[in-house]
Amino acid sequence: MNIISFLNAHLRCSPVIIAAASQIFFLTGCSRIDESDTHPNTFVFARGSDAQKLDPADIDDGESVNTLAQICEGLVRFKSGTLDIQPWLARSYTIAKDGLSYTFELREGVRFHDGTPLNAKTALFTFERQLDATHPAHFLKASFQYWKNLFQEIKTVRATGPMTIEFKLNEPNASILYSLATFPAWLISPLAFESHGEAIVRRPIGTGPYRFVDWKPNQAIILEKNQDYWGAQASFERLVLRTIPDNTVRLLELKAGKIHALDGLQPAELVELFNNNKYTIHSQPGMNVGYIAISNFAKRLRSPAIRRAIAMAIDRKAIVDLALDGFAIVAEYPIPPGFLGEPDNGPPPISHNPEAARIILNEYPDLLKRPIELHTFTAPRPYFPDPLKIASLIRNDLEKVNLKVEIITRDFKSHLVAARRGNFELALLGWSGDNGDPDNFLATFFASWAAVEDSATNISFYKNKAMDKLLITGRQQTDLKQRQKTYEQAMLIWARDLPLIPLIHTEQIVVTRSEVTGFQLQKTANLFFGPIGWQSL
Amino acid sequence: MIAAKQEHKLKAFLIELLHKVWLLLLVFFIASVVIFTAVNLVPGDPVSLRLKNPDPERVVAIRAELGLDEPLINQYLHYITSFVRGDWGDSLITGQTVREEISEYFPATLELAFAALFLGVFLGLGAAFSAQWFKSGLWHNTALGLGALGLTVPIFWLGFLFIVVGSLWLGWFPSGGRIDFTLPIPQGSGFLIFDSLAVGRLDMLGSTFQYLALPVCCLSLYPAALVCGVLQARFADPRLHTLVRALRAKGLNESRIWLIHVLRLLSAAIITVVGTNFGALLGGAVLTESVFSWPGMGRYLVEAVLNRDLFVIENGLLLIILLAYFIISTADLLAFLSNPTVRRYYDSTS
Amino acid sequence: MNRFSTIFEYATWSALGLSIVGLFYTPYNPMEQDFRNLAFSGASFSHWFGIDGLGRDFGSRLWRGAGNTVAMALIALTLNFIIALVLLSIEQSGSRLLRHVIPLGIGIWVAVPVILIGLVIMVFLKPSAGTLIIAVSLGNVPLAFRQLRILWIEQRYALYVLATEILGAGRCHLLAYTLWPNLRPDLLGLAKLILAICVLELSGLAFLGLIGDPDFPELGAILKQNQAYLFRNPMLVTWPGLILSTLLLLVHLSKSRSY
Repeated sequence: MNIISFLNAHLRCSPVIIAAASQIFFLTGCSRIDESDTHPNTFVFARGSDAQKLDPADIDDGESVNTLAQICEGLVRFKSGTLDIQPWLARSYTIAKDGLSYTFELREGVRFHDGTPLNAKTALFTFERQLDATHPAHFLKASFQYWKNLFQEIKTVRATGPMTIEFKLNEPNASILYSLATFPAWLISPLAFESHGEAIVRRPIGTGPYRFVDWKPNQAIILEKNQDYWGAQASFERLVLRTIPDNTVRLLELKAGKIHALDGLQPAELVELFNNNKYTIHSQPGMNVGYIAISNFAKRLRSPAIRRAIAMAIDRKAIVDLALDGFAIVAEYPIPPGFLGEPDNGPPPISHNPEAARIILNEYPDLLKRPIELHTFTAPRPYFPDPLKIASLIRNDLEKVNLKVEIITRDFKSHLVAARRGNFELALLGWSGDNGDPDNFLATFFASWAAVEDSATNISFYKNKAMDKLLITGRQQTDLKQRQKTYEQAMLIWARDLPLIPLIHTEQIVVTRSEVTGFQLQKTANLFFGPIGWQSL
Repeated sequence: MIAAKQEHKLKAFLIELLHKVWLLLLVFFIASVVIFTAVNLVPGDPVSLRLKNPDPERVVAIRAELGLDEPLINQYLHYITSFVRGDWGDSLITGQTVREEISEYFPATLELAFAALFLGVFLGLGAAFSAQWFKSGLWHNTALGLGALGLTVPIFWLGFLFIVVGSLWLGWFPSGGRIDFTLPIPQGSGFLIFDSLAVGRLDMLGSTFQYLALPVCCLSLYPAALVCGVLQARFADPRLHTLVRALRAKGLNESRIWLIHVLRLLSAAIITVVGTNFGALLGGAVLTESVFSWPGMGRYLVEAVLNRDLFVIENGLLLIILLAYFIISTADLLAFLSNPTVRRYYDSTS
Repeated sequence: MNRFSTIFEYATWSALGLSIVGLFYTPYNPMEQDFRNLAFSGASFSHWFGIDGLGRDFGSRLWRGAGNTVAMALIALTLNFIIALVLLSIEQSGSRLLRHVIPLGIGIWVAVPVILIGLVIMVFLKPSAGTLIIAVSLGNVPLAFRQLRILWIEQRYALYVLATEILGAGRCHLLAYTLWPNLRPDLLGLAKLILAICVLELSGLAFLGLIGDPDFPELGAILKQNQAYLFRNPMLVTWPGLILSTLLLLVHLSKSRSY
């Protein structure tokens, strides 16, 4: 056998070898992913959707807020892990006795990321642009919805000294101080607006421990350490906030060591992390409520007896167990437990009693003529991590009491559009609190001024004069005992009319590698990565 | 005489080219009309459907911009002129211009699709040749199995299997995404393979391949099956074997016969089958992108449809249909170049 | 392969038939969440495939899901053939213009991926099973049209047909007794090919979430519904995919001629 036939015999396999060799191209970069890092340079956090905009005054989604939470800061802030106010960019504050004037002394030596010093003039920019519709930075495309919700009472804001600013209010509002700790009041640099104009909604300049570097849409936002931060320096050189919409993939990335922390998992997926020492599951009751709204325009469901029957038919414990794997609690009231106004005696107003519900509903045979519409949406929200499963469970419960239900699924925006017009019979929705005040929940749900078509937060379109009066009173009272009584009365009216059936308060869950130190969940669900560090196990 | 033949070939090619351009224009027209109709049939006010926070001033501005009070034909003209101009509106969800977003996502999908095409053709060739040379036994059946696999296994399920095996059990590959964010990201064309080569960083290149690996392997099974099928059909043709015998008699050695002459003859068939089914490959890319969180046009469009992001739908869908058509035309022209007797794909019998 | 093709043929028909049975009978109600307290439990004597995450018997859901997938694909196939046949008859008996325009139109239509057609239709129609069927049947019309056209032209002008015509056979006789028996095997092969494609595309679109109802039992939709349980209970994700692959493989293997 000579060389030629030898080669011939072996070259037969050549295409196969070529095919196999081409596979190796794809393995060149492959290496066993290193799972034990000693203090990584970059901290990577992954969430399920990208931020939408980075203008603190014009956002309403958690991902945008949590991105800005690393970059911007406010005059005051909530003490970590609590709802108590502590001075922050303002080193002190005073409130006038009549509650109509708030004065803040700014901290010395703070600079924005672009070098602008923090003083009364630069601090005013953030507030003036929201207050004054003629301000050049009051963008046409923006809605500044939160200013309208939380800061309606502010009449003027001005500098009363080089490092002093003063807010004057139309009427007293006890929760303004708390609202000033929330994201619409986080300070941004006026110089950035002068240099970049409208582009500042995608390139925020704040005073926080991390500064903005780059935003790759739907992939990641990249931040780097602010070397000139006035407070304790961050531990990581870079912070990357990645977007991984698929829950399974996000979890796998955590296990592969490509990311160091994540949020937004469905509880079902967490079950297998429980006994794993490599990961720490941080969870706490969330300041939110997920509910079913019953539209006032749905004539069939007007009767309080029917509403009570529907409420009694739903097994909320099953929702907690099956759709949320225990990471939630049953909601007895439209406000989270522990809030001012929660009645502390007496049984909860709604109990799970399908037999009683069936008996009541037997007297309304008209309901069976057409299926009841239950509107839901697809995207996970902090109060409903899996809205489709919850809709499914509710439908089954209602069918057990002889009702027929049709589930109408839409994307979240279209769902909101329908909800904000009251175009539904039953709709799933929820609310995450911003400032720890009951008015932030109850006025949102039940005030008649919140029932404006197309922008309603009172999607049941519930209008009741007695309720309105109580809400206004509660907003203006400053004595805690009085407020408690006022809101307890509001709860009684709610329990009688049932425009809204609260379902669950979902726990806030963040999973981190166990090496991460100093991470604390906040009541407002904001995530702060400035204080975190890394300690090898 | 050869010069005359070349000139004749060139003339035929130019005619084909003109024909393709004409078809492309036709496709543009028909697709844009269909999409325009679909978008206008969406229930709801067209303005508030395109705005995140529809407050009255903005509504008026957008109405004027879209020319919603004008007759439909004007709106349609406005749509296609702004498409051609590159003015594609803003995304409802992110607020960014659609143009910026597409310029990020488009190269990602193209990179995925072409890498899968490349690998798929290789695999298909390998499989068909193996089945041919090993007339029976393990190789033969494996090759035929590949053909069946590529056409029958659902991509989205296969993707999960790949993730579980490649990422979870073996830990060799990441389970989603496109870029390792702990490394600096190469800028430039958007095609990471070329960008990282241009910068000269092998670690970036390696990382690119690592992220490409699973999605590409998943997606490449479909073109591999197509190529394998076509080649099997061609290998069954006795005329091919007559040619091989003739070349063997002429004294050429085996590999030269198969790899050069036979492959050149079959290249037209391969290009045609792969080009004609590029549309299906794009469909597979949409599913693959969903499973692997690959930031490409497929996932972008699906989310736009689910979220009723009308500007994105209008412009993104039109763009991707034009792309599909462009690729098919190019494949047709290439096939024509290598074998002018290949008829136009819409007349062809296979 | 020929030896086995009859076996595969029988296997395919049985598999399809068995799936359809799932539309009318399943051991338990696939929609009722009767076993919430047993959620996630594995295979047992009374529940062969265990219970899924919301307390429904998983075996029943899989069976009904297979039935829905196959039924939807069959309806899509029928619609597809009807549209393609209509177009073909127009083209064959129509004017010269139509004979030019229709293949051109088909040529353009074939370039568009079915998933994109599905997406376009989904833009203005409510996501539902019906919408998916329409999308999938429309998307595959070019393929059916072209193959039917080839078959028709090959057979219509074949010598034996011409001979029968000369012998005086009328149109109906020609169609029913001469052409149909010869077309039948190829038509069946084409139908199987398109059925397989429809099943894949339907479950793909359902997987993307375009089916609307979150509880709809369809194999691709079930896979999406159980995606969250990939690690906790991987069988909930494995079984739908396995059944889908098996159905498709059987259909593919029973084809007598490859296209």
